[in-house]
Amino acid sequence: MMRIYFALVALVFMVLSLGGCATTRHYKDALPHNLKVTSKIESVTAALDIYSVGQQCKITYLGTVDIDQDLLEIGIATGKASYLVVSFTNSSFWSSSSGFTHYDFSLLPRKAYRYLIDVSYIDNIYNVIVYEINQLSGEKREMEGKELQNCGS
Amino acid sequence: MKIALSSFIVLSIAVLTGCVTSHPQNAIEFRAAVPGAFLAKVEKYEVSQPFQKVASRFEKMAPKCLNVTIKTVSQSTTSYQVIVTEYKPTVIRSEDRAELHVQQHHAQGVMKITEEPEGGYYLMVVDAIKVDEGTTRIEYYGPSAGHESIIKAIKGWASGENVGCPDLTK
Repeated sequence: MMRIYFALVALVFMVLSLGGCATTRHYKDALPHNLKVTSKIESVTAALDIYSVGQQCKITYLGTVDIDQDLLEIGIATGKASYLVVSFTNSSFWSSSSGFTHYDFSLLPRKAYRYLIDVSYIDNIYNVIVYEINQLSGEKREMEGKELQNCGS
Repeated sequence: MKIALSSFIVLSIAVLTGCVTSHPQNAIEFRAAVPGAFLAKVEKYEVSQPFQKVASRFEKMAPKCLNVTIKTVSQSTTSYQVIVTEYKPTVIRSEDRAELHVQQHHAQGVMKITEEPEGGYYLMVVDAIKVDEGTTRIEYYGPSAGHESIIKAIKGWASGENVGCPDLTK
């Protein structure tokens, strides 16, 4: 009886551990695709958390997209700011240690533009580069600094 | 654990250079203290990169990557420790020289025993100096152990290879 109990406890623990934490939910990708995420990730798991930004920079969590493919496409709202968080998590089922690093920024997507987030994590070095691409001209430019820090503007 | 090691290294730079009661208060004092300090080193090398590119990467990547606060939680069966470390990068650029200063301030979990400069204790100073149109000399002053990811990232900014931010949890 005791053995069965421990086996059940171990099974529940494994299911919970392997299934991940229940505090995230998948992003409901219902808008026209205007955001590409390209990635090259080694030895960690990466994810993109998406928030809408309201008045006075109040953010509302919309969901998470796992960055588990080299190329992802999703849609985010145009004409209003989104707050995006790229996270890198290093954890192991067999190890007690874990690490969490993130890069966050806000983005004000415009109509007639597409966006590309290039994400990499190689050898404990990560990088997140955000590009804006004019759909008409094809012109691509890197966004940086203050234009990614503005909130709700 | 690594944060504790880094604190030990920073303290070693002061204690083993004979400055038990004071830490380097600026980059000049830090450069002078490092050569004789325990667990600290000076490393000089050249990269095949124009100075302008190296300096621009310092200016772009340092605030993007190192203006951060890291919270570390260490837990065992007998202890629980939370350390909050605030990093502060500063880049000073002139025509043929760029200096990157990295300071760290422990907001929680580490006791201060000496006067701390504004912005935190100096962790490392990296100078990029123009040699010729395609070559830049790098002079690194800082820890000889620990902080591998920061050192690797700064080497990447200098060389142009795998340019990115260090994962400071490593």
